[in-house]
Amino acid sequence: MAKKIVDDRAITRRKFIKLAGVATGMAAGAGIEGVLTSRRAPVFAQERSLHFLLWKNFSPPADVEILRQGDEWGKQNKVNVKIEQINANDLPARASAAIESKQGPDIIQFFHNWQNQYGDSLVDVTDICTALESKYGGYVDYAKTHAMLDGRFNAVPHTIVPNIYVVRASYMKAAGTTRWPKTWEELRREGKKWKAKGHPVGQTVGHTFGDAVDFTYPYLWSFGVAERDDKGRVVIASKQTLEALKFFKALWDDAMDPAGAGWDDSSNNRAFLSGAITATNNAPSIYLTASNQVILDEKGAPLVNDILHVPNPGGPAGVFHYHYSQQLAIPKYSKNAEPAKEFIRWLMDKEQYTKYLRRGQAYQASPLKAYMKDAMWDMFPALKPFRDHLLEGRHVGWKGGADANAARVVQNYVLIDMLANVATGKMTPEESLKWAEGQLKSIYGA
Amino acid sequence: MKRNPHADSLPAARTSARSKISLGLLERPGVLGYLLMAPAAAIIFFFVTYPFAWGVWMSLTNKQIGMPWSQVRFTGLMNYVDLLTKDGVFWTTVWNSFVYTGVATAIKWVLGIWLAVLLNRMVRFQRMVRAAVLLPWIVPTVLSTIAFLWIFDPDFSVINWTLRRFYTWMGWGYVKGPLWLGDPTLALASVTFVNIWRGTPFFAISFLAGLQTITPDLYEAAAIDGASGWQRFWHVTLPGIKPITVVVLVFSIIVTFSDFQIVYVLTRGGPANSTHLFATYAYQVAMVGTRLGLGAAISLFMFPVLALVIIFQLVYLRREQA
Repeated sequence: MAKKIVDDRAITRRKFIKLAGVATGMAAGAGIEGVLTSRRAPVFAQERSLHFLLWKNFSPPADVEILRQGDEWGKQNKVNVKIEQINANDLPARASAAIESKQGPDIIQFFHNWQNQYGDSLVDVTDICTALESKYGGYVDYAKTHAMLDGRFNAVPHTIVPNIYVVRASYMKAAGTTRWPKTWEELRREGKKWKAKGHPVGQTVGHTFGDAVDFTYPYLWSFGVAERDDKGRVVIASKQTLEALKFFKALWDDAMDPAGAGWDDSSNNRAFLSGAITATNNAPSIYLTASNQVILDEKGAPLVNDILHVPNPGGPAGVFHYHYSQQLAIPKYSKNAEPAKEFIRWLMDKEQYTKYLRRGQAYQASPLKAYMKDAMWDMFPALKPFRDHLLEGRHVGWKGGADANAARVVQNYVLIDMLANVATGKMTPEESLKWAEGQLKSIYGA
Repeated sequence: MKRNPHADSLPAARTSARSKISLGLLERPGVLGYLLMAPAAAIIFFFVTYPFAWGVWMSLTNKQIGMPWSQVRFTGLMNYVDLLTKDGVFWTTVWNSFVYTGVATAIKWVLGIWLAVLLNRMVRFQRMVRAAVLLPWIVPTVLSTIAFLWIFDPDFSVINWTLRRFYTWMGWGYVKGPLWLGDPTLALASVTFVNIWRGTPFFAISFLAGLQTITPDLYEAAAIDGASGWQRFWHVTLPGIKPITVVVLVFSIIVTFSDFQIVYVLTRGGPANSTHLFATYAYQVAMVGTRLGLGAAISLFMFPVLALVIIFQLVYLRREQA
């Protein structure tokens, strides 16, 4: 019978496992052999993770800062923070998919009052908000209203993107306009001159999340138009609305760039920076782009020196603005709700928060009133008018609440299309008003 | 070698008998056929039938995103009734969808046949030209549509820029150029154009394959009988590619009717809902506006139309086979 020769140098199965266990199990202090010997599973510290979904900021330095802050907090708290930044128009669909499938990001950013559509799917963050409110001088009214549903905060107000008019002073002067119009009628009259010179007023009434809402709502409010009364009944079909629509047709034809019906939120920026338009309702992004990229005007001088920031013109009911609020919500499906709350508290702490706002170059303002005196406004003095008109806003759904259906009116562009129907000539003001009333009643159910 | 006395023992005999039975079952077409079909059927069930049935169910309820199922109520056909009687955007969407599909399919058909006939006649550079013709079809839709976003931009459009230069050169003064995505009619025409640009290669390559099955003897015989080029095309080419035409038309109608990407990238349904199709409107209502039940009802309106198209194709093909 042949003798089995055993070579001591040969790697047996037992030897291999022992070696592998020593090599990989040293950190755990056990190794596979140790596990087999002790008959106990090894204990490893589970790494926590946090997934934060927000928009791709129109101020790129703010994007860089939020990533840095996420990294910093993550290292301090041994949490793997994953920050995902996407196009703002895609945020609602991502949020819907996550909430319905009960898996996804742990913190989601919402605009306007979008998160109120998700009812009880969001964690109550009243504790965070009331603490911030008392510490930092209270919230701006509409930002607070947008973040609340049924008396509780379902999201933490994070920032506000303010919108007023951005104007080329030299274009106004070249057309003989001596000052910014104070009323819509003055804007129509002066804008007619600017349009004749090839530089009309630029405004979108297209299907986009920001500029279209920022113009439409305060324009209608300035004519005394309300979607609902304070009892929640649809009252859009009023003589004020008809007057606003008829005037808008005249304003559009006389003073505005007809291409605006097809613009998105970046189109007016490009049009302004390329010298195509005299004025547009916008956030500070136009000024910041012109400043950061050192864009020159037709005479070779820095374009920023020719930019004015001025309030919206007024209508029969006064002057109004709409600045869209941004808030952070934690879905109830999240298994990391407590770390998410800790992270938001840390982000809103003065040290981090002021860094975010200042490094964002004051593109976003704060919903906390104490920050209206922050040094960032002295760092960017040209943007002070955005702060000066920050409190002159209302919530969507006015005079009713900023509830889920008010968010649906925004998301389905009902009031924006009411203006677009008239601007493009698709409907007469009367037809468009009837159409909008039907749409609002089908959403509000009244 | 001594024979194992247990060679014919029961376990071995059972195994052998079982093997014979299994082989016998697998040799029966009725069993083997279903077995081989099972994976595909499972995929279709889980990824098509189940979501479809779920969509039908949701369309009969008041389901919203995040709403617990305990609060979901059966509402019957109310979503459908509301769409038909209260929603002005829905009827605009219906009109847009039929116009978009009808116009795009008709033009793709004509251009597809024309390109196929040209490609069939080419002798030199045939492979290169065929590859070039396929490019619009191969490039991811969203990427090519983003390029069209720039082509249709009112201030930076290459078309408008060229027009302005031409007008200035001719001394006709300044012209802004067409509002490709700002005028409701032009916006619908623009999205239709992008669909035609993208879809024509599919028609062309499919018809080219069909043309190459037509025997040249038929053309020679027709030529000998004195048929003109147009007569040969009408009486030989078109009948020859009839079967492939039906298949291609049906597929194209289905895909075009349910299109989403082109409209979502270019206009998101604007301006003033003039470019909304069923898919984009359902998306806006369900995913953005969180009304899942209503959104499901919108998308299900496509089903009867597409079902009729498929039934027509099946009936036609069966008649041809008979």
